[in-house]
Order: sequence, then C-alpha cells, then structure tokens
Amino acid sequence: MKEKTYVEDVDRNMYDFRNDEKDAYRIKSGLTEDIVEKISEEKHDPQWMHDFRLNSLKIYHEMKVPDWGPSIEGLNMDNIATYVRANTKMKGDWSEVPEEIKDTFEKLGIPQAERTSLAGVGAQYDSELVYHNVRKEVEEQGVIYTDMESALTGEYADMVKDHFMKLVTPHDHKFAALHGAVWSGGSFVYVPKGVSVEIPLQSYFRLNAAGAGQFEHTLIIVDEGASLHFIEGCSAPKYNVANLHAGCVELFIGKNAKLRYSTIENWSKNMYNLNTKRAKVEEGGVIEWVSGSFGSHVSYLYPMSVLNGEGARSEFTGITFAGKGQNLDTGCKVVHNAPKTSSYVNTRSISKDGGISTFRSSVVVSAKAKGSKSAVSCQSLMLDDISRSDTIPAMDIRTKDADVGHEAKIGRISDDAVFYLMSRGISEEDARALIVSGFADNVSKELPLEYAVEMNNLIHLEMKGSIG
Amino acid sequence: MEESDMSEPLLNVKNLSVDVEEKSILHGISLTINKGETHVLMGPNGAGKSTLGCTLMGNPNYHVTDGEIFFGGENITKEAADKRARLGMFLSFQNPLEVPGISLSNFIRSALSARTGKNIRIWDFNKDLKKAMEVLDMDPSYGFRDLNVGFSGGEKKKAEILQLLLLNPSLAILDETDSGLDVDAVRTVSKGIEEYQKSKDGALLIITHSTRILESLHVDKTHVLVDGRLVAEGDGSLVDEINENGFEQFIASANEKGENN
Amino acid sequence: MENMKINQLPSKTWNWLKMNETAVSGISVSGAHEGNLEIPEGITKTVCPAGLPDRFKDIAGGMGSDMDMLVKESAAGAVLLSADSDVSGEPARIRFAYGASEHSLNTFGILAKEGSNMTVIMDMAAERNDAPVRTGTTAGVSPAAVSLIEHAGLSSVQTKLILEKNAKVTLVQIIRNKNAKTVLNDIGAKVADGAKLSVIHLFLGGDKVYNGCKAELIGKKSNFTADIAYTVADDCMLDMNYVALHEGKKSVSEIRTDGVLHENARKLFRGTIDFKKGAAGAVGNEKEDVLLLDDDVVNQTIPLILCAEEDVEGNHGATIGKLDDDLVFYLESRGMALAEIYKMMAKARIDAVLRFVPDEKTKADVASYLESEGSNGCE
Repeated sequence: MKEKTYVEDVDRNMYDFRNDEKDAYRIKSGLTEDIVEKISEEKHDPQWMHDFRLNSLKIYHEMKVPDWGPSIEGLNMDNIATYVRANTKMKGDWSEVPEEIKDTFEKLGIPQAERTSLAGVGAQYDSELVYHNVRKEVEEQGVIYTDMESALTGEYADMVKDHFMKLVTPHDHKFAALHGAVWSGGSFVYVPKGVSVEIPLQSYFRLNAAGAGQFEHTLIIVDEGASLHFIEGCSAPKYNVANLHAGCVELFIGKNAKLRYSTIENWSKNMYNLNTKRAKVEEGGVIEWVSGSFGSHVSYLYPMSVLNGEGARSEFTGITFAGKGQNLDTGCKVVHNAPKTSSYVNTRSISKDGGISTFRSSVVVSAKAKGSKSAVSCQSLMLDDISRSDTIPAMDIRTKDADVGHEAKIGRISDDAVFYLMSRGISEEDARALIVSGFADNVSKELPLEYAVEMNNLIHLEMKGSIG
Repeated sequence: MEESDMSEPLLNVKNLSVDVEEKSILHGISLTINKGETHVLMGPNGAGKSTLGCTLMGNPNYHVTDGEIFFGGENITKEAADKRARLGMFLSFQNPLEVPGISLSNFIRSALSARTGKNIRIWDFNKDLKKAMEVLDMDPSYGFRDLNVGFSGGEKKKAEILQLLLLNPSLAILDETDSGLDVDAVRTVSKGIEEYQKSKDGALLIITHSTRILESLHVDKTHVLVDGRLVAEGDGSLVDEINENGFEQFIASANEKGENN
Repeated sequence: MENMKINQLPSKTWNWLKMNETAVSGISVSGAHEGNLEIPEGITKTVCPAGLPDRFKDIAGGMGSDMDMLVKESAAGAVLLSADSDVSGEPARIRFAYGASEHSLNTFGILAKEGSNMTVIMDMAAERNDAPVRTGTTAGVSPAAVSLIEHAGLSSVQTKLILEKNAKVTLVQIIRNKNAKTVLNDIGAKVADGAKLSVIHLFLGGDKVYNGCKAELIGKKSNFTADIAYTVADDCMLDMNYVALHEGKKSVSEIRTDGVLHENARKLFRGTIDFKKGAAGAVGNEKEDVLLLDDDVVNQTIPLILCAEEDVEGNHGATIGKLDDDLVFYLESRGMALAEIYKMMAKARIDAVLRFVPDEKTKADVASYLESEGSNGCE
C-alpha cells in the first residue's frame, strides 16, 4: 500500500513568466488582474471560474488584514504575486534548503525520494502510482477522488460548481478572497449515498509537482449515509521558499453521513499558514476533526463546523505545539443552527522556548438550536517562563433550552511527575518528552497508528529543540 | 545486577541530615545495607521515614545539608534520580502519581530500555509482564491502562511492585507499601516482595509504621527512627518488640538524646 | 460624552462576535448625587473637590480610559475614604436614592493603609419604587414584551482603591436602580503584598447596566476575589468586564458569578485572568453559572486566560443553560412543579451571594426589595 515512487522531472511550468514581453509583471508589485487572467487561462478554467477568480480579486483588494491575532508583518503583501509565480515552478536547489529541514527529514526517517518533494525543490517525487491504485479501489464503490482542476470539467462539474466556495466565501476574510483568486491544486472527493470507504484517503498522495500545496482547495462531499476518513498532511516539515499557505477546505456532510478529517500540519518554520477549513453538517450527520499543529512561523487556523440539520454533531480534537519563533493561533468555531445538535471540543496546547500559543474559539447556539449541547475543554501546558499561552473562548447562546459547558486549565509539568519517571531511570529530558507526548494523547489516539507514531516522534524532536 | 565487592556495603549512608521546605527533618542518619539483606525502618508518624526514602532516591525537593550517600561504592549524594535508578535503586512510592497518556506497560518498557540503553524486544517483555502480573493477581488489562489513572489505592501499590519485579533493581526501598491495603492486597503485595527477595536476591529497605507486611518476610536488621534520628537498631526480633510495646520507649530515649545534644 | 468605548477585552478576538468592547453614546453628567453616607469611627472621610489625590491617578479601571475621561470632564469632585487600622464590625454605608431623571456621577477613592481592615457598602437604589408607567404599547411589539417602566437617567459611580501591605477591603455594591436608563459602574484597584480585596456585586436592576472591574495584584501573595450575582429582567442588558492582573508572586484571584436571565434579557460577561511574567506561584480561578429562563435571552460569555509565566495555575469553568436534570428530578420528587423549581433556584442564586454581604441592615433591605419585585426585578 505504501509504495512511493520517484518520478523524473516533468517540466510542468504552468505559467511561464520568463518571456521578455512579460517583463511588465515583474516590475509590478501586488496582485493584478493580468496575473489572475493568466492563471485562469493556463488552467483552462470554465468561464464561471474565470469570472469567480476576478471577482475574488476585487474583494481581496477591498478587505483589510485582521486587527486581532498574531502579526503578519513578515508577509510581503506587496509581493503576493511572487507567491503565485513561485508556486508554479518549484525548481529550487536541494543545496539551498535549510540544514534544519534536512536534519529533520533525517531524524524522522523520511526516505530520500520524499525529501526532495517535501522540500519543494524540483518536486521530483510524484505519488501518482500509489494514488492511481487507491483510486481504482475506491472507484469500484463509486467514489470519486480526483484533483480539483479535473473536477471542474469532468462528470461532476456541476456538483463542483454548486459547492465551490459556497461554504467559505471570498467575503469571509482577506485570505479567503486571495484563495478564490489564485487557488491551484487540491482534491475533490465525492462519496455516494450509503457508501462506507474503509481505507482512509490521504491528500499526501496528491503532493504533486507544481505548487507545493500553497493555495490548494479541498472539496469533499459525503452523501447521505456515507462515511469517509480523509487525512491531510504529514509530520515531515513542508518547506517552501515562498512562505505563504492560504489553503481552503470545504466539507459537506449529508444526512446521517460521517466524515473524519485528520490533519497533521507541520509547515516549515518560515511559513505563514492562513488556512480556512469549514464543514457543513446536515441532519444526523457527524464531522470529526482531528488536528495536530506543529509547524509554521505564524498560523491562523480555526476549523469551523456549521450544524444545520437536527441532531448534527461535531467533534474536534486538537493539539498545538508552539516552539521557538512560532506564534500559533488555533482553535475552532461551531455554529448550532438546528435542534438537538451537539459539539465537543477537546484541545491541548504546549508552549516552549518563547513560542506563543493562542487557543481561540467560538460556540454560537442560535435560537433555532433547542435541546443543543456543547462541551469545550482546553488545557494548556507551559514548559518555561519565556513562552506564552492564551485562551480566548467565546460563547453566544440565544435559547434557554441549551446545555453549554466550558472549562480551561493552564499549568506546567508537575515536578512530582518528572521525579516519578526519573526514579525509574528515565532521564529528565526523556521524562518531560514522555509527559508531553502523554499530554498529546487526545490526538494521537485518534490517528491511525503510523501517524500517531510519527506525531510522537515529532514531539520528541520538538522537545529536544532540534527540529527545523 | 551490579557486581560489587562483597565487603563493600550496597548502601552506605553517612551522617545524613536533610531539610525539606526550609525545615530540618533528618539529623545525622547513618546506616548500611549489604547486598541481599532485608532492612526495616520503623517509627511513629512524622518521624521522617518517607523523607529518608525520597532523599535516597534523589527527590530535588529534599536538600542534603550534611553527610553523604554511597551506593555500590559510588558517591551519589549529588546525583539525579535517574542516574540512581540506572545504578540499581528503586523506590516504591507511598502515593504513586497518575500519569495520563502513558500506558503502564509502555512506561515499564521505556524505563527498562532507559536502564539497559537497548531496545526491548516486545515479545520477551510481554511474557515477563504477564508472569509478573500473575504473581500479583493483576488483571492483564491493567497493562493497557494509563499509568495509575483511576487505579484504586491497592491497585496503585500493586503497580509499583509490578515495576519492581520487572525493573530488577539491586536495592528496593518500599515506602509504606502496605498502607491503605486490605488483607488480601497485603498478602498479594507480600508475595511480590518475596518473589523479588528470592529470585532476584535483591536488597530491601522496607519503610513502615505497621508490621503486617513483614509477617512472611525474613528481616535482617531493624532501625527505629524518631524525630529524624535513628534511636535504635536490632535484628528481626526488634519488630516483635515494637508490636508488643509500641514506640514509647524509643520516644523517651530520643527526647533524652535531643536534650543531650 | 459622545462615543465612549468601554469594557475592552484585554486581548481582542473576532470582530463579528461583537464582544471586543462596547460602545455607549450620549452620556451627559449634571453633577454628583447627594448620597447618604454613614461613616463609622476609624474611617476618615475627605471631600476632594478637585478629584482624587495623585496616588490614584494611574490606577486603571475595568471600564477603560474613556470612563476616566468622563470623570475628568464632569469635574464632579470625589470622596476619599481611608482607614488606618482594623475597623472590623462597622461598615461604611453609602446609600444612593436616585430620582427619576437624574444624571449623576460619583467618584470614590478608598485607601486602606498597611494592616487596616475596612468594609464599604454602596447601595444604589431608585428613590421611589413605583416608577412612571408607559401607556399604550410600542407599535409592533406584543404587550407581553413591553417593559412597564419608563427608564430614564444615568447613575454612574467610579471607585479607585489602594490596598497597602496586608490591608483588607471588602467592597459591596448593590446596583438596583431599576429606573435608570444607563448605569455605569467602574472599579480599579492596586493590591500590595499580602493585601486582600473582596468585591461583592449584586446586579438587580437598570435598563442598561455596564460594569468594569480591574484589580492589579502587584504584591506578593496579594489576593482578589469577586462574588457576583445578577438577575437581568425583560429587555434589560448587563455588560461586564472583570480583569485580574497577576504581577506579584503567589498572587491569588477568584472570580465567581451566578446569574439569571429572564425574557429578552441580554448579558455579556467578560472575565480575564492575566498572568504576567514574574507572577510565579500565582493561582487564578474563574467560574460562571448562568440560568436561562426564557427563550429570547442573549447570553454572551468570554472568559480569558492570558499567560506569560510557567509556574502558575489557571482554571476557568462555565455552565450555561438550564438546570441540571438530576436536580430537577430530585426537587420534582419532593412535589415541586417545574415553574416553582426554576423560580426557587433563580432566587437561590442571588441569595447565595447576598449572604456574603457583611451587614444585616443592607441584607434585609435587599431581601425585601427582591420580595416586592418578584424574581424579575423589573415588573
């Protein structure tokens, strides 16, 4: 199952900015209509997508950067165009990849072939082969698993058009608008009525050449009574010279359907990770988010569940580890819009070496959500006194027939626990790492074993401070 | 197991004084334990017995203000707890902590691998674990549960003895292991300790203020601790004397000693 | 003052939640209210026409700088109460009986010198409990939802406190001017080594009530507790901002709130425990319980914990909604009907905090006020 292949360089330069006549693009800063037009053209967008991109661009220019949350000063807004361009031809040099990144690959035991791909240099690794095998298996069940671009024009074009950026609209925030204008790559999954997909689908299979997933769009539709487990990301750091990730994930869960969406995000420490993930759940449906946030320099990440049908349910289990130089602002949002809906949130966060971790959440129970229940629990662990951990949860309840509970705790590793472990011969460093791994078990026990093992390795490396 | 010179005591405590939270608890404690011997440390509540156990194991909250501790010939007075453990010392805690997220079996395996510096083969380990759990009448499912989380008092103590059997130290310090246990549990725990004594030829320092747990064990030496001082020493028969007459005579003599100092 | 921005969250969040701060407009003050002050022996009262002494200048109140601006502009003068020693037993009682269309602002300073112990009780009530009644119904609104009281006037109080080493202050504020259109209540305190500030708050009436309370725990082992109970009636609104700022080692804070919301009531509770670096050994706890009695309520809660120090313990918990099923079953099995149970539990919440008020006279007054108002406070 896990065979991965190494494919020779296929020059997939989607947009070639090297022609002299296009010198104008290089001089201009900021994202212009011309650039977006060009993207649309190269991708052979249907008309509606072309128009959509341009409209998003307009909205992008009108909106302001958020006035709360971590600073994104380091993001070169004037040169957004460079992100788009760089997105197209990942032909960096292995020698230019930072030592720490290479080191981490080594420590995590990542095979050579994958390293170049993860480092976004030449992106010479293509999981096409494995991907094809998986596709065949699930195809027999009627499951569609394809890349976003093909989905726009294939058999499911209308379905895609009906759903694309309807859940996360370009009006949501500036980077959703940016995404709408320049998105590229990503997966489209459709699971038909009543189909249970046994094997987890992994976005990892789709890590392809052009664009190391910077502006990828994931659209998943799970029809009535169906179920799916989708896994995004991996524990190895994804390095990118152009340091912005503005992805978008839209999940539609039908009546009595179930979707588990697991992510381990470990973008390299120079990245600005401004991701938007949202799920809409119909009657009796269930969304389970499992989320591990480790990397990136700055993160804005709040998977959101909109519970639209009676009895819909959302479960969110997350862990965030903010180390040196990181400011990770993560959390989740839930909207209860129908009766007897329920939400459970269980998050843990760890701050170390000057890292800043902020848990930000909102639970909104509208007047229509009678008989709803919500329980939020967040725990924060501070590992030293130069780091920060903030908890900013909000609740807005508009019906009396609701049961909403919230608890938060912050503290440090207990000296007694460390002594206990040391008295069994475990070194102090290992003892702390074990305790922190144990602290993260709310997430690791929800992940498939190999991911849990990877995540624990990642934690051990983070604890030793030797990660890139 | 450590190879030590037969004439060199396994544990040699010289004139040890200890402060806890700026209070002076132990004064001038000296005692020696040889390989394979079973010693008992008794005394009324508040005498400082647990303090001695924690100090020997190297709890950083216990400050040695005078004296030294030698283990296997090495001066460990300033060494960290994990070093002492790797040298062969073990402490069974009076109130074992709960450590969520780490299963009991994984924990023991990590400790073993830390000791030997090698990877532990799961197959062999699981066999040993099963055997030890049988000796202690423990349900095998406990191996998968998070360390001490939700365990009753008795189960926690059994988990400590389980660790003792698998980690195979040369000196086991048992801190009030029988407190809070019912009759059956005491019997089971004693069985575990006997197993350690016999098959591992381990040395024991049993800290207790009651003697239930000692009933089936052979005791080489008994020490009595009152108000932080060792006031009496004898063989196994001293235990019986205390059973009959309590600690009063020792408290009186301790007061005398205190006055004379 | 035109556009006041008050009760700011120490750390902003999503703007669409509309909880970051509150805007209040059209506030005008015509003077201070002539209250009735009963000052016992041991407490010195000083009238300061030019405002509080400099020492109080840099104390930040929970409402924010716009409130300080309002105080400055109103130039209404201040009253300083100070204690040298243990004045236990006798509290200072300050009673306000607000007229129907008063627009007043009172400023107080409380200075508890080293080792002193004092209690100050402020009872802010309406002059007459039978307020003018509105005739006819407001177009488009069903009769049942129309409030019978014509709300008018402004009652506002700002209190700044300085607690020196090992001082102890209990500040009780009962805010029950149910005729008022707007109530502004602001508290700012600096607490030194070993000192303890206990704030007891009962919010029992008023159309739009805004409360800000900030305690800066600068000293080692300084202590701040706030026990808050509220009942918000039909169409009324309560907007709160409590901040415990931990700077001193081993400082301790406890914020406990218990409330009831009736038809159409709106309430926003912001509670912040802020551990600054250096506050090693600090402990902060926040607990909120809200009983929602009717379906048109709007309950907003945002409990923050901000932390820059490793060696701390911070906890907060909130339970919002209806009564626990087991409790309801238990009471029903003793013959109580559901409506009765809710009425009883709502009253119990207020009573629980009322019990903390260290003055029999005040307790009796409030108890009979609650009795006459029914559990609603705004009928």
